[in-house]
Amino acid sequence: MMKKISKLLLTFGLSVLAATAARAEIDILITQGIDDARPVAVVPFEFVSNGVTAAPPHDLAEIIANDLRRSGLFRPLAIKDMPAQPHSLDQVSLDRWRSLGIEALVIGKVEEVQTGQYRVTYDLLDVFRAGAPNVNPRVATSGPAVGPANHLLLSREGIANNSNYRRYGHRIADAIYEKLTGERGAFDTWIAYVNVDRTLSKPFQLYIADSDGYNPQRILASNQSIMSPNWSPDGKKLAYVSFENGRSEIFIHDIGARSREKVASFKGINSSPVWSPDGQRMAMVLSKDGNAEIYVMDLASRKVTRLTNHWAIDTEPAWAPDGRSLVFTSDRGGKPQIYRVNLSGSLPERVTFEGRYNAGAEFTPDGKRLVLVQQVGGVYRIAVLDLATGSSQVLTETQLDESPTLAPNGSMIIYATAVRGRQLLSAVSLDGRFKARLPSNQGEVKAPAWSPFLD
Amino acid sequence: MRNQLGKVLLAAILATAVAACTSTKKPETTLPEDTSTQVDTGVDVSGTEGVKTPEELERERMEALLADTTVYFDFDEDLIRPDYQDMLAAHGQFLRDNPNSRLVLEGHADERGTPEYNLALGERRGNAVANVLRSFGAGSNQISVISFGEESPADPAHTEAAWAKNRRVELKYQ
Repeated sequence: MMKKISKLLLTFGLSVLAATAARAEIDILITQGIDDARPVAVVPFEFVSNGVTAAPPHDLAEIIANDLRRSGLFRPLAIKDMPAQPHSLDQVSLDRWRSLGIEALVIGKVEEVQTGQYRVTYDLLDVFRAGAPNVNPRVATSGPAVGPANHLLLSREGIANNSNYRRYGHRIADAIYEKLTGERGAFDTWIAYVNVDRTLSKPFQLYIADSDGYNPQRILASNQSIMSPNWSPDGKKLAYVSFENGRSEIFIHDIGARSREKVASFKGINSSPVWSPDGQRMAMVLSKDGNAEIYVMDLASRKVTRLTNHWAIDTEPAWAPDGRSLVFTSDRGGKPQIYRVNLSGSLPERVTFEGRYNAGAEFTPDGKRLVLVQQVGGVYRIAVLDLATGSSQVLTETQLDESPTLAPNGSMIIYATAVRGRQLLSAVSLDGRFKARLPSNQGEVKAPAWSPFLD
Repeated sequence: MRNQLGKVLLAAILATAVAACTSTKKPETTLPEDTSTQVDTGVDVSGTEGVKTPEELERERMEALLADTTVYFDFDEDLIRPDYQDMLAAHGQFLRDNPNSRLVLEGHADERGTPEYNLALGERRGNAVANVLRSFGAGSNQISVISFGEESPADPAHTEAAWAKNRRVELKYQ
């Protein structure tokens, strides 16, 4: 059976791959920061070798510091500006960090317990505020903590290995971010995207990379276009549109199992697959009944139910977080605008009124705002719309923005844009104050999709 | 009626040919050689080798129109510009007269706006062309529409000139 499938795939000039590229396809390049980012310090972790390994596979402190910087909320101190490099609480002199205005300090240690396996311990300290609850399992609990131990916000220990080492760093960054902001971190997540390199025999490639662009894995290469990747809520599958059979069809790709199946191949277009929050259904756009309309497919029975009925284009469905309504793009009013419809099949209501062209909307995790593409003075930018007030705010300064995708904690948006004649991915914080660019090494990058939380 | 139309066309074509003086035809100023042996009838027919029968001219006109297989559109529009009327009439009539012919209309959009909206827009443009072809006699079963949205640009550059080339429907006979 499996053999048959791979033969079938070869026939269509396709290959399903899970090879890890040697180089990063995306490097985060920060183009604009924010002045009031909080100063923090992540001290390089001490490495205790078992005598064979000279250095750990990655620099954990660097991964953590870069994650915190990329959130736009923190400004990690450069290593060369650090007054000291302590690795344990008894080496910490808080006064020296206070004088630099550092609010939070991260120190840690990596011990190789056997070849390729590491015990990682780290501490997060509030530099200014004492009286934090004693969270250090390694400090005696009899009596109140004194000195730096009295400033501890987090103290943790765990085991990492060569294969999950980078991911372990993102998890530490998530824990630190949550402790300092009160909001769950989203560094330990993935981004799916499409790379187009027209010099290759299979120019269209679907990748998954860590949220910082490292560890890119190609999961599909095709000689025809790939569109609209969308994650299942459990982060294990991707739905996407592929033109491998000469027209648009919807596939579901199981990443771990490296298998895929075609779920929609109706007459006309098969487009914009979006998983429902409960993972049981998939909203999609089909034109089998004449023109582009929104449908919902029950994934167990594959039965589709039509949700819209209009001669205009209806496309780009996006689920409200509660799964009870969807927004979509329609040009029923003349130009593309966002409308909202209940699953019960209510009459769609128009949501956007500012701007000639609004499309590609996605809900923020709290369901209170929409992130969308808005035409402003002839250019296309990412904007955020407050559903209660109806007012929108343009977040970006680029010109051909499309496909915005939100981090699962709602803090950051990644979108596709063109800079100096080349399509690439950029990031902007939801308040618009922090911007970063994610340039690719080769070809053009588009259709980003941020994964849900992975556990 | 048909003949009369041919005559009108012939006159028009001749006038155009004289005015345009295309490089493929002999210059009008070339004199016929060795006229001394001929009786001067007051007319000279030897310079008219480029003149064709009305049927030939009509066939050539159709061939030229049928050779044109791309319809271009304005931004976010599926309205077909009037200058495509003759070309689409020729394709529609060709399909009517050749019921076994099959035509695929590939709809495309430029990259501005969102890819998913553009996929629907490409289909709408294809449908608009299909409607015109049907009005000239093409059968519905002869035409199918496939949209590629912004995914298969004729010119992948991110410029106005490239976008104008990418907003199109391509007529592809199977």
